[in-house]
Amino acid sequence: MKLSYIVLGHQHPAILVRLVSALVQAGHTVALHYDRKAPDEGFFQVRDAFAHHPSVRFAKRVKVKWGEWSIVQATLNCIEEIEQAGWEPDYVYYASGADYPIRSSDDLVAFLERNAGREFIEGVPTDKKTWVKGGPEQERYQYRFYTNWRDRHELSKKLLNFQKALGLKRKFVLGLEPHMGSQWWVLTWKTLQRVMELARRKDVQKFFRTTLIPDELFFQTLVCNLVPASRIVARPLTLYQFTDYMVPIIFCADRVEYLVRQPFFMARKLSPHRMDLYDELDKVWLGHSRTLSFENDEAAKISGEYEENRLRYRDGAPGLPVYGKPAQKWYEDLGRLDEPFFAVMGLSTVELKIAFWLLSCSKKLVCHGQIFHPRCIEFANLGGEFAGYTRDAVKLRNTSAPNFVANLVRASPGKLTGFLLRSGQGWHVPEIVFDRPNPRALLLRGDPLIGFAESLSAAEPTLSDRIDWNLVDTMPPSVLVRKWNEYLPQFRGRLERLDQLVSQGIDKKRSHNWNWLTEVDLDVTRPSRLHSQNVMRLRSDMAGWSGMTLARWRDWMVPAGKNLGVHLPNLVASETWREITTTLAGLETGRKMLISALAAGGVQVAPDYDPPDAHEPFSPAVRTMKMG
Amino acid sequence: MSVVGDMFWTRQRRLAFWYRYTWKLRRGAAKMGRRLTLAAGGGDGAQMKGVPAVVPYYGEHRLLDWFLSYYRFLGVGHFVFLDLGAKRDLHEWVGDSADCSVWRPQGFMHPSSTIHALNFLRHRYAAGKWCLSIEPFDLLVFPKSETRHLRDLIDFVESEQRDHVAAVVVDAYGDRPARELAVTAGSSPVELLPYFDRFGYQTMEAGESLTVPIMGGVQRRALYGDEPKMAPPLNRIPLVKISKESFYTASTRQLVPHKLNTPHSPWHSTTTACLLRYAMLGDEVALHVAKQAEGGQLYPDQTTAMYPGSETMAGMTLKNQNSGRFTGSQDLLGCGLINNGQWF
Repeated sequence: MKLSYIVLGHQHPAILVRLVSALVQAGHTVALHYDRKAPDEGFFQVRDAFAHHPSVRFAKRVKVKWGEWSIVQATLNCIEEIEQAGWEPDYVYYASGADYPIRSSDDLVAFLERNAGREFIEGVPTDKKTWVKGGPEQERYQYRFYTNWRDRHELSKKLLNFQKALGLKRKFVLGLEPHMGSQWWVLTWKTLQRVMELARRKDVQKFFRTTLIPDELFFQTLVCNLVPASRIVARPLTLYQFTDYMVPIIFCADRVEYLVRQPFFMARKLSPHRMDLYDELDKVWLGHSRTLSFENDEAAKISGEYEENRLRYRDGAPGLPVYGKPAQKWYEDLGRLDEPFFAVMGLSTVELKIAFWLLSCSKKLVCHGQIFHPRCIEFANLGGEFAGYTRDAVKLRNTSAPNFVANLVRASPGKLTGFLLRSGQGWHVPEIVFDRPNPRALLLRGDPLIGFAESLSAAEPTLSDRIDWNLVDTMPPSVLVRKWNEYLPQFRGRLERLDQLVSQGIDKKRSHNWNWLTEVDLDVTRPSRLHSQNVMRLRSDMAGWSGMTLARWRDWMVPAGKNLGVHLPNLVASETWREITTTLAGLETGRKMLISALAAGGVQVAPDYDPPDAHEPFSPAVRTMKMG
Repeated sequence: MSVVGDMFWTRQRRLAFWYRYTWKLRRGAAKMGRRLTLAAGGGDGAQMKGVPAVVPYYGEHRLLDWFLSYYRFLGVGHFVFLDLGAKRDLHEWVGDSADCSVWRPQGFMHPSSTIHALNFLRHRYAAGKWCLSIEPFDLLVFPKSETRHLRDLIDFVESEQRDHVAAVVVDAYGDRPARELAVTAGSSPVELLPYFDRFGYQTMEAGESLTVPIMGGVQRRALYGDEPKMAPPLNRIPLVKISKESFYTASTRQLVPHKLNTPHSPWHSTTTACLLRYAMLGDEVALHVAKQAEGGQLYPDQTTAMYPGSETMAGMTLKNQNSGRFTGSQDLLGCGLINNGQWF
């Protein structure tokens, strides 16, 4: 098998020399064209390197311009050189100076021997199919182009439109069927000789001289009309891929592994700035390092690896912030966060604290406290510093709440991060929780009595603050009742707002089949209204508030754990559980005190409804409803 | 007048301002050019290959070798220094390096003229070329910069029809205060200060000149906790294809024409870089010079300078849970400080 290369070069003479010597070293012959537009020094450098080399011939130089006949002329000059040299090769491989082999010479020769007689050229019949991705296609040969499409774009377009208006459409020369395709081909010498016969005809030259981008038309049309379709393999053996901007990508030194995996024999373009890439590929070309072999049918089929990468990174790395790209959505960096996180939402700090204690026991979770407390940031385990924020860095946090949450979540990779969100805190973060797909919500519909008692002591208590029940005792009943009557509508309003968010969330996250929402209702003063899949309903027929809630909290751990994807341990014997028990007992005492104080003021706070399943015996109170 | 008419004339006035301002910059550069003397190296970059870098030099000689060798490896072919150091003796240190040109001001130069002098040098050495504008304490890191050439980055960015590359300045620090570290002529700052803040940066809204401020980082959390909005902005445009019209207007953060200030297209993210800053290793005198020179370049937006903060932080322990160790560009890629874009 004799193989000749046509190489068109116009820059980086050192690399051109390297390419040609590699080709020659493997026993092939090269016809080289060096652009006359490029500085002569480069040409002299290449010419001197192969001055009297029997396997290298220099074609007559022409000034090559993009989209013009000159590039075809340069190729034809190279073919003529091969003819004059009398090399009589079996195949001719058409490459540019920016290409480099990515497989061994022996592989290529063996491949061509296996496929002897086939022509590797892309040719799409443009009368029937579209090949061009943008710009003129059939107009490229139907009309005449006298100006360069890129250099004098406006003028060229005007001239084209002028011809269209006058109806100056022309017929294809010799009545050939037009075909278009990639410029890079591998053809048999016999076919090329037949092509040359046609190419020497004056009418053919005259026609193609005024077509647009003839390098994607000339050889493709002639070969597809001369050779039966069964002998044509419509895939070029040179690997080239494009960016979003339709520019060929340039492979850098760290992509050698990728290149040698591909079922192609050459790749374009390669970075001319670091020589490591060429050193590695030289080893491959001369067969010193092995490449992955492929089946005959798989040859020249592009893998999806690059395309996947291109689409994936179009808008930045998935899940990571893109600094310098102004936020499109009001949730800023949190909008780019893919990792799941959770928020425990409630109406009073005391109730949230119990959830905080329970969730802090799991080693797979990082549960922060009230991170949006107006006076401080309560981090996990009540530490003083986390993710670069100190406990007092309230102003820093307030610069952007979504970014703050995103930073917290990113600071503990591999663990599910969550935080407490008391009603009224965190600006629009509650909305984000129900808007984005990744956050999960644990909703505590609180007891208004507890919330009320808390509001009497402090407006925004921290986790370490305790309810001052003495206030209930010392406050006159009339004042207490007035405050209660003020507080209850506020409480109901907050609950309604939460309901609204939950129903929005249910609409938005309908497609999720995992449990993203766990709810509990601690309010015994009215029928519970729960939406979620994992519903824990309070039963008013159970005697005693705290005992019941203790059981409920234990039951709550099952759906909550399911929601967060962790197994919350059975905590009944643990230190935390004792702490919770004590707290709940204290709450119950205080709550009874409050009920009697309110009763003294004439307000009856008691279960005033008949639950629908009151007649049923006690059954597991946790229910799972399927949605959608 | 109608609201639309109002908007129109407001815009016309702003455009007129920037047009006049460009002429001011042009005059400033020409004027400062006459007041600079060439102390070493070639007077123009005609014969030089590789990317030119224009650097204001503050007299920190201990980091010079590290600086030169890193950027030579990256692909910088010509260093153009504006010697602002207290002793103005850089030409003695550079010696006979063929790729270094040293310019120094004749007599006293007001700090506010620094930017004009640098603009002059950029236009003199890099007209029509890509030019790197960095500080002598900065380490430019871009995706896979260990194996790729600066020219590779430029080729890719040019293929996306862009004339500039944006970057974020990230302060590097150690696990001890930087002042306690022994810096010698041969020491590598990357080993002395191996940590950086992985998260805690924030992209602000684009301003009138299309600049997109990026706030955050070590300085904001360590020094500006009480007034985070006053923290220095971290966005930079260190790599620009210098045309006749392009001038830096504020440090290396803002340019005219304004299209050079947008780091990404709205529909498309592109490759960005990171400038790891080792200013905390600088000695007192050099940092004083740097502070003055930077302070003079903050016009017209009067933002906070970075070097005073670096000087303060040199005495502080800054490492915390958010700190990441810098071992290569993949560490910065992993937390989004560098964006790979679609560069394959």
